This record gives sequence, C-alpha cells and structure tokens, in this order.
Amino acid sequence: MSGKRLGVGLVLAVAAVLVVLLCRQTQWNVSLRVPSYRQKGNPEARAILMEFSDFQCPNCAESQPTIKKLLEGNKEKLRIVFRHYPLNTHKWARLAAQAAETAGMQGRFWEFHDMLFEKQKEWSKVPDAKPVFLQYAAQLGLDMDRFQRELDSQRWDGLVQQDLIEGVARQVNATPTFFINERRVAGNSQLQANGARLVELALME
Amino acid sequence: MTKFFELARSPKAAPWALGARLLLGVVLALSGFFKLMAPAEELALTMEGYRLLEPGRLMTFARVLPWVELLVGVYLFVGYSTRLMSVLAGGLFATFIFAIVSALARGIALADCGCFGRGGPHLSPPQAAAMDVVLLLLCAAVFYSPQKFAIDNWLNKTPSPKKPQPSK
Repeated sequence: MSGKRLGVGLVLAVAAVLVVLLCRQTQWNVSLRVPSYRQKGNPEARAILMEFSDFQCPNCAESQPTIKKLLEGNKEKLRIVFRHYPLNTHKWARLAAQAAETAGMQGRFWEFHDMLFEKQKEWSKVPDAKPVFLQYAAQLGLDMDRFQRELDSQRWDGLVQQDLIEGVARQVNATPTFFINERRVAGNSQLQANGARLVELALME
Repeated sequence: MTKFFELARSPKAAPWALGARLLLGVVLALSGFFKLMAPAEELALTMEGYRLLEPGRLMTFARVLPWVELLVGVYLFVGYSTRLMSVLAGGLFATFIFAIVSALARGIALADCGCFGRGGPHLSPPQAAAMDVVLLLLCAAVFYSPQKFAIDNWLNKTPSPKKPQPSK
C-alpha cells in the first residue's frame, strides 16, 4: 500500500471518528433527587445502584433477585435507588408506577414494589389492572379511601414523569437499566456479570 | 448468476454500480453512526437477544462493530479500497443474515433487529434479513463493477512517463 493511499485512508478514518466524538453526548444534566421512600440501604453509602425499571417488564422482574443479592453482599456499603421508567408498550406499566408511588406516600413503596414484581404475570394480562392494584393495597393494609382517591386522580404521576424525563436525558432505551455510580449496566445479564465488580469499583472511588 | 456478474462488469453498469456503492456506504455508515450515538451497553443488550455470543464477548463486540460499520461505510461511499470494502461489507451483511435467520430458526422472539441502534428505522427481523440479502447482492455488484467517482481512481493513477527529448 502506497504512502499516499495509507494517508488518505487515515485522514478519512480520523475525520469519521472526530464527527462521532463531536456528536456523541457523554454528559447529562441529571438530578439525584429521589423520594427517600424509594431508596434502600445505607443512606451514607458511597456506592449507589440506581435502577430505571418498568413494573410490567419481565426482565426487570428477573433482575430483582440479582439486586437483592448485591445488597445482601454489600450491606452498609450500597444504596439502591428506584426510578420509574414505564414503557409505552406495556399497557399497565404507568398505572403500576402511579400505584407504587401512591403506596410510597403511605410508607409502603417497597412492599408494593415487591408485590408488583412477584405477581407480574397475574396482573400484566388482565383487561383492567386497577382493581388488582387496589386489592394489593388492601392486602398491605393501606388507607384505601386515600389510596383510591390518589390513584384515581393520578396525584403522583408527576413523580413518575420526572423519572421518565431523567431516563430520556440519560439515554435509557431499555429496561432495566442500572447506573452504579453513573456506570451504565443494561439488563439483568450485564448486572449479574458486572454488578459486583462495579460496586467494588464504586467503593474505591 | 453468471449473467449477473457479466452485467456487473459491463461499462453500462457503471452508473448503477455507483448508485449501489453510495447506497451501501450510506446504509453502513448510518448504521454505525446511530449505534455509536447510543451507549454500547444497549447494543450489547440487543445482541444478547440473538443468543449467539458468549455474554463475556458481547461488550467487546458491541464496542467494536459500530466503528467497523462506520469506517467501511465511509470508505465505500468515497470509493476507497472499494473492492476490499465491498468484501468486508458483504461479510458483515452475511453475518447479520446468519444471526437473524439463526434466531428465527431457534424460535427466538426478536422485537427489533437492532440494525440501526435506537436512532434509526426499526425493522422487524424478516424485514432486516430481506434488506441484508439485497445489500449483499449490491456488495457483489460493487466488487465486480468498474467504479466512477471513486477516490481509488485518483489514487491508482500512475504519473505518465516523460516523453524522451530528441537528441540535437
């Protein structure tokens, strides 16, 4: 290959790479303001696992044991933060997120969260999920008048929307997507493969 | 098939060959570009759906593939090392066809082919496979056809020898 040919090839490659690097977004204006009832673990922990999740997403349900294992293996060192990211393709995901927020306002977010994932197959395919969510709220002993009133009025949908906006800003395109101290992990397989290592890295920072 | 190659080689095919080369270049370059605009982890997640690669290799592949697509696309578009690039592009499309057909044959439900990452058009797997077959044929046409408006033509020009001066 002549020098001229090699030179032209290199110039083209460098130009293409520069265009990509200039167009790529690497910094996001993100906020870490999340209601405290959606956080678990040590509030002072240096390692934070933030999860963007959809209650109707099967992969998200599968990732719950992985998250639990990470938290158990790193007690006092890890904080879990839940962010809503209901996908448009899941009919009841937004309502499920609103219901979880409504339960959170009565201090039972994680119990409702666990119930939604454990019974996902039950409520995902029903013609109307609202009565099912009301049943779950009753089983948890919530103030049902308040729960129903707030769910019917979508009172806490703004908090769900806030998380969605944040997820879009972070280029979240699939659920679950995790950020372990801002290092991205997409899907349960990647979390299983890399989660522990990334938590270790986060603790060393 | 022989007729196809004969046609591809004929001078009449030159405008079509140019169109094929430009189209291939744009499709590959854009495919790589859109993938590079999204996090590599997302592409790895899409590729995981095909269940072809070991999980440990997915991230490496997800980081490298878009750059290969982009560079091969750019080189094809400008007509640089055209024949080599058409072979590489053909290899890529053949691999994509294999991945899709293999997934479909194993009954794996793929929602989106992942061809253009998240930024580009969303094709169903059969649509993507059909598109890749057409593009593979175009690669063959580009390989065999003479190319106009290619940087190769300028690079391959050898300087003309100086005419000997008559002795006095």
